[in-house]
Parts: sequence; C-alpha cells; structure tokens
Amino acid sequence: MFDLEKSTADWRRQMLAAGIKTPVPLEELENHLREDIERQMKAGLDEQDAFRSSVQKIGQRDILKMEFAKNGNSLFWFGETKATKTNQILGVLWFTQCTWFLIRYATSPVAAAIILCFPHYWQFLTVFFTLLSLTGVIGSRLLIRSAKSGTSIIRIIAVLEFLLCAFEYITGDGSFGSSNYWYGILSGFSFTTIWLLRSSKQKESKLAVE
Amino acid sequence: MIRKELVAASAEPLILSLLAKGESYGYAIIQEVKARSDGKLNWTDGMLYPVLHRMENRGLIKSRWAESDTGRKRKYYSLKKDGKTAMAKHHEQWSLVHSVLAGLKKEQYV
Repeated sequence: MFDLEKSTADWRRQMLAAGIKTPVPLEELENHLREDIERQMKAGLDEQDAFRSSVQKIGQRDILKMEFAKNGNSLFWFGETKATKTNQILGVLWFTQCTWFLIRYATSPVAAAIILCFPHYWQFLTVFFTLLSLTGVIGSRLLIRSAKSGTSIIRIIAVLEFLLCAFEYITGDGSFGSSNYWYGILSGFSFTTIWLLRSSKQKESKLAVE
Repeated sequence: MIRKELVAASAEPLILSLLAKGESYGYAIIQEVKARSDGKLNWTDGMLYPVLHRMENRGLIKSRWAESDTGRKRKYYSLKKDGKTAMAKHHEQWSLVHSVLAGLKKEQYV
C-alpha cells in the first residue's frame, strides 16, 4: 500500500543526503512537491502516480544540488559579482575588528576602573564605544550576507572611526592609551572601506543585467 | 519544445516581468509561464528555485514566508527597485533582438 507521507519523507531524506539544505531551499521544494501532488490528484491521478510524476518534474537531486551549489550556499556564501565579493571581504575584516573591540571594551579592567573613577564622562564614552562595536558586529554580519543595510551601517561606522582616529592621530595626545601608529592604520582602513564600499555600489548597478 | 539555452536565458526576464504584476511564489510562477507559453516553455520545476535565490542574492527580488488559504507555507517573492531596473534593461535588449530578427525575416520575403 502506497504511503504518501512516508514516500515524501523518503524523498526529503534523499534530498538532504544529496546536500540540499534545510530549511531553505528544502522546505520550499517540499511545499512545491506537495502542491503539485495535490493538483495532480485533483486532476484524477492516484496518489502514487501523482507522487512519481511530481518527483520527476521537480528534477534529479544531483542536478538540483549542482544548480544550488552555483549560488555558493554550501559552506560560506561568496558573492557572484566582484562588488559583492569586495563587500564580503570588508565585512569579514570589520567583523573581526568590531568583535575584538567589543570583547576589549566589555571585559577590559581599565574600562571598569575608568567608569568607577570618572563615572559621568567615561561611562558615556565606554558605553558609546561598546554600542558602536556592537553595531559594527551586526553591520558586518549583514555586509557578509550582502544586505544593503550592512553597507550603510558599516559606512557610517567607518566614517565615525575615521574621524575619531584622524582626530587622535592629529592631536596625538594618546588619551586612549594607544600609539599614533595604530591610529594611522585604523584611519587608513576606515578610509579604504569608505572608498571601496562606494565604488562597489556603482559597479553593482552596472552588473544588475548581465 | 524551445531549446534549453533559450529557456535558461529567458528565465530571469520572465520571472522579473511576472513579479512586476505582484508578488508570487515558485509553483504559481511555473504554472503561469507554462500557461502563457501553451506548455512550450517547460522548466524543470526544481530549477526555478536556484534561479530565484540567485536573483535574491543579487538584490533584484526579495522574499517572505506566508501561509496560504489552505494553511500551506509559501515563500512569496516580489520585485525590488534594482529588479525593476534590470527588467527594463531586459525588455530593451530582447526588443532589440526581436526587431533585428523581424527586420531580417521581412527582407527575406521582399
């Protein structure tokens, strides 16, 4: 006796084994399969024939896997165009930087001591930098996923970082406890980011139609 | 049956133009293309999804999960601003190819 639920579960397992990911795109494919089976049964086919025909129509799992692999969903999503690739590399760099800052601010005994000694002024600054790093972590994650909001967030943060570091570099009083050399590198990195992110966007619109 | 290269090349402009009428989901997109081409444009059903995901990654379309009247979960796709621009360019290019082809065909009968 044919069991539609069991056969669908088997089909799902085969797809998973072939490397089609869940929930997306497997859920989408399964919904498609079920809808097609339902429609074919309404047209007069029995359950078994409808299932067979729908599975055939949806396509062989190896070919499907190959098509999905072109999207690069397998291990790490890597963009199709040069522009998205640049953005993703920048995303990874900013993610590393902001996570590092976040851990540093959140766990730094110096930060804790400063808050205790100068509660008003330094508390504000530490909270500000922590929030900035946290926003940076979220923004760079979005940038890696190629979301447009990620580009905007990182651009704003890069501008802020550039201004802060350039200010520190010029005044050079080392009030944050780091050397000018370090501020030079950071402001250079921020400036490059602002420049590359903008030029990526221009390339993106040209590549919209290949 | 239409050659597979042409089927592949026309997938993106067709999807964009269909979604320009309003949001839709995979199964409905396939059915509509089939109906409009009298069954001559026949996609392997599963192949539509990698194309849709690629277009989403490129920022041409966006998607959301919603429940249908029958309670089935569906992923609805809709056009984004870049998708509209891409569609206009596709129309322009396909019209050009069509007019060149039509002009040449006409000359053959003169």
